[in-house]
Amino acid sequence: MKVISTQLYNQNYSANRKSYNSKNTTAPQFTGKYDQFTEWIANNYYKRFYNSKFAKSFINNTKGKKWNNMTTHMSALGSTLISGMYIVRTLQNDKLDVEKRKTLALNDLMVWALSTLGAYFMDAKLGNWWNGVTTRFTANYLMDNKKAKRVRTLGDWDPANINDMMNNWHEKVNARIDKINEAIKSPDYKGARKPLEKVEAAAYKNVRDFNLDVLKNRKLTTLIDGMGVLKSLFVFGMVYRYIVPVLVMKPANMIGNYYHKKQAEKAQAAQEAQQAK
Amino acid sequence: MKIDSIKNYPAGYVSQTNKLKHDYEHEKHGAGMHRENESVNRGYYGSFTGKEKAAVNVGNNFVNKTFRSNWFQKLLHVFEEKTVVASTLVALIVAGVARPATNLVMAGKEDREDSIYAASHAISSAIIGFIVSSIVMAPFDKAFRKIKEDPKKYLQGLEELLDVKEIGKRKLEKSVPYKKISKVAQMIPDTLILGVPKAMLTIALIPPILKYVFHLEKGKHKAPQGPDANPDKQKYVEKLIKAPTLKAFKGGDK
Repeated sequence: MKVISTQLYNQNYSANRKSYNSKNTTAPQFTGKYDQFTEWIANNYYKRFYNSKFAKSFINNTKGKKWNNMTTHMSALGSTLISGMYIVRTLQNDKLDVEKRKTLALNDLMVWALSTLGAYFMDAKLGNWWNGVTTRFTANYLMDNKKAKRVRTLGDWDPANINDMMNNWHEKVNARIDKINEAIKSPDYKGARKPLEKVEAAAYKNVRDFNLDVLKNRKLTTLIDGMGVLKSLFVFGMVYRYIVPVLVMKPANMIGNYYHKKQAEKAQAAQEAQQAK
Repeated sequence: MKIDSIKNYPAGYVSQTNKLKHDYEHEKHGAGMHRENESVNRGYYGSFTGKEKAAVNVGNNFVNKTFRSNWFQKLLHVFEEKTVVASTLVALIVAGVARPATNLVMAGKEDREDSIYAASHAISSAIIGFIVSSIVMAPFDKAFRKIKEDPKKYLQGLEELLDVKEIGKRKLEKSVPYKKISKVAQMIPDTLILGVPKAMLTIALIPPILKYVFHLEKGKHKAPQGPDANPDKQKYVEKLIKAPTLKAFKGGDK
């Protein structure tokens, strides 16, 4: 029986993809130059970046788990830069009087602070729930991609029971190893004679690690990582661009306008009363 | 595979299982693995409760059909490998569709025209942002894919920094430092370098989009401002038009 390892499967997958991409090339000359350009970027941007002092310093100073989700931090950094630019431009706007500039700049600052805190809070709060969603996605992926289930090693298991498999995979593997070791003792057996060592018990906390160590499907790793990025980008996008500007700022402006109107009415009434005296 | 047929088991199966054992042991003692109390979590996702979890829902409902669809899996691929483009796609959905729609629904009669203009502006801005990012970031994303597919060529010598025994595709997948610095490398061109030129290009392209796509021009959507908007002058013009002298006047060729 021919054994197809996951690695071999993934190699075939990427080779097929490369060949598919090359078959779809309509303008080879352009593709060649474009490829040279991307090679130049790989060498002059990415390679230099990974080798830079910044990368070294960054890695050494961000060892805590709170730094693991860089998508959120980069999204926050981008928004901070844009908000900072708006605040500086507002403060430098000669068409507005000084008090108005300060009020608007403070408003921008408050919106940025509220959005950033809100986005980090929501992203953290959704963490465990999203972990479950990612597990559900993985189970569905495995339903359609039987090779990714690693049936030859784990047996034909139901992806609906992926949580059970993440905790007890070693029992299944060891049960199979026991049977193989029994079989090896048989005089009829013609394969390798060295008995297999059992694997150690280990429960996986998340499906990404389970896939990396046990299923070893590269495409699935990319998709699981994509799920994490999807969550973070949507949370930050929703908070910065929708929840705060629409659902918070609009009612806040309405309340502010109402308050200003009432204040103006009071001031006018006071002025009229003073004039009457 | 039926375990009963173990008598006829080829050596391949044995070596495959050995490989699993070998790989697992290697990872356990190797870089990037944080093993505590016989449980594994490299820290990307939420905390582990330790409770027995129920079977996962893989039934034939909308969510599961979406998860299994090709378009969703392609979308996840875009989110991981083309994160900047994905962020502009999110902006397109949130700021280009959801926000204008909500603003239009919430708009009163007096500010309806302003809301339509603001919505058109937001949609144009989101579309331009998405298109510009897709074009500008395409070579960067392809270059990153080269790094990912052939890391030995570009990242040789960074084993210690990236906390791996040797540079390789599978080894790097488990490296937390590699994952972190890669996301920074992917997003920095847009965040720090191309952000301002992209914003300027977007600002420059918004007026023509508004004019030729939405047939809107800056200032034209509003009520006339300045001296023409003076109510006294308007009343004077209306009076003049209704004046008997003007009514008696007949222009044109006789």
